[in-house]
Amino acid sequence: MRVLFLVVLILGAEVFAKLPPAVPLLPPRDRGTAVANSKKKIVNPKSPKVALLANVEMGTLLRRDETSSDILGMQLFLGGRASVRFPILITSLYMKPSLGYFFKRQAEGTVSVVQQVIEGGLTLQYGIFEKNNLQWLLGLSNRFDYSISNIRVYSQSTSGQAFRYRVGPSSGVHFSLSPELKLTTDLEITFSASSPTRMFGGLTTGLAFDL
Amino acid sequence: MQCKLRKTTQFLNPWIFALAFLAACTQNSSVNSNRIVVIQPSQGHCQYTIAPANFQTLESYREMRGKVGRVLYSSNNLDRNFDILKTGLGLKPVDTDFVNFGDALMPANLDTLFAASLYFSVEVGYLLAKSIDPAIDLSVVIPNLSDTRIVHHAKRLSNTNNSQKEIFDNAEYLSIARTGLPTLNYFFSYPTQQIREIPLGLNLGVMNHEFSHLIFQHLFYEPGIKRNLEVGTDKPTLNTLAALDEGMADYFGFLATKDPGYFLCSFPQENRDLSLPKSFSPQVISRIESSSGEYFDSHEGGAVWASIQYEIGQTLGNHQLVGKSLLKLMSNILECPNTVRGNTLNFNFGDLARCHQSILSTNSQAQSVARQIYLKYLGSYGAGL
Repeated sequence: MRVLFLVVLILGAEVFAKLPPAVPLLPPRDRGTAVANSKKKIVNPKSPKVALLANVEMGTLLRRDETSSDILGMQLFLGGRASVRFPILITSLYMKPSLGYFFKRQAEGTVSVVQQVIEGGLTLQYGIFEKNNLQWLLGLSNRFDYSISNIRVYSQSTSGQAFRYRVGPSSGVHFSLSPELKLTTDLEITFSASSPTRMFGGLTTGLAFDL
Repeated sequence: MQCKLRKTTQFLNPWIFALAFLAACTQNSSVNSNRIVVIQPSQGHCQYTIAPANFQTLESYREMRGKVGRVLYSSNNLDRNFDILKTGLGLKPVDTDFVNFGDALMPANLDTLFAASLYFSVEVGYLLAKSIDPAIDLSVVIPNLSDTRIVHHAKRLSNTNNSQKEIFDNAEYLSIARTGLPTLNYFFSYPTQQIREIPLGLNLGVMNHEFSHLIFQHLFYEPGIKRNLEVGTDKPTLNTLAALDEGMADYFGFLATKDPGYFLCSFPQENRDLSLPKSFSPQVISRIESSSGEYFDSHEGGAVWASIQYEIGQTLGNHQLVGKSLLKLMSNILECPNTVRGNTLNFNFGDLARCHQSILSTNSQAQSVARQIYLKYLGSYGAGL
């Protein structure tokens, strides 16, 4: 009985081997295993994937000042920026609109001056290096400042304001902590468009979330 | 790809317009660059407003430079770099930054506020002297007035108890004589350390006190030096001169602010309120007449002189008249028979009061009021008045 089974099996294989090889028995379909399928991303061709990053960073805005400085000839403002980043045109080119707020307080005796900068930004960055969890970007930052200064003496207080446009090179480093979370650091040097031209710096660090 | 590019350009267009608009806003042509917000005294003791002031002599608001001087700063200690002090070279303009306040400019930071306030204070002093006595135009008396260095956050050393310390919480006028060149004038506003009230560089009265030293230098000392006058020792002339210089300065500080207690707005504990009567008591006189080399505070006798002038002005209801007579006194000390004999200056506060009364002789009421008040406060100096 066992011998008969082996004969049928061998002959059966012989019969199948003699069938034409190109005959489609079923329409083409994904023949992957269940494990392999779980690692694959399901792509909807009607809505292509946009790598949108939401970014919150804290840090400093540095303002070049020849008279008194906090560090390296610069006055230091404290604050932060919130931004989103998305690719444009090609996958390595990103646009990054942002909104920032920075402030600085100076005082002598009873007199104080508080400077506040509300900053709208548009940065264009290109990823020039990407390996493992690290991405390095270079680009150009445009900053539109609404600057408010408030002078106070005793209970008297007066405010003035100005607009300022700054532009200059920027650099960013993204380090992936997990598929959805990145540690980010941005550095920029910008120059005000108004006369006299003044140099500004920005150094912020924070977290970016994959949306 | 073409479609994508078009979409991107459409997306960027509003940004380009916004950029152009904001850049245009940064160069607001409607701003009057001679109207700058500073802290100014208002009615009442130590009352202030933060409001635009019309700068009448300013040539460059960016550099805070004009007819009465230029505001500068030095990152080096001037006593350790004496060449800077001697030549006036090596000081840099304050890096100013402004925002808009209506049609005026407003300092955006503390250094700019100091720079604007310092220039404004010196300008007020210049215009005040001119308004009190139109014959005295200090830009004529001091041909290099525009070279005056008004030093913000000055770094200098004081010699106290045989040790050198950096100067804080002070303001100073200094003249540097130079061979073959006109005297170089400095105003120093030192950094604030202990003061919890108005910093001295922002106190219009204090800076006008210093400006009065410049007037005294150029109406009295400089002409006296040119005439080779000597200082006698029969009377306490040197100490009296020092105290008179301080007293004149205290009074001109009041004229600039209309607040007799302006000094207390920075130093609340000091006995420098002009409205509080003070007299040349035997103790004050003994300190003025102390021999040279002993500690002598010229501000003490000066405060008495300033209070006397304040009371004369209050009684007459005319501080302008008193101010004018004091400007005249500054130069008349060199000619008054009570104060100079031959080539030698010899006087005390009694002699100065006599000289002052002779100046007021054109106004009998003022002369009489002055005499009564001098008699009230001069103590032993009032004998024979």
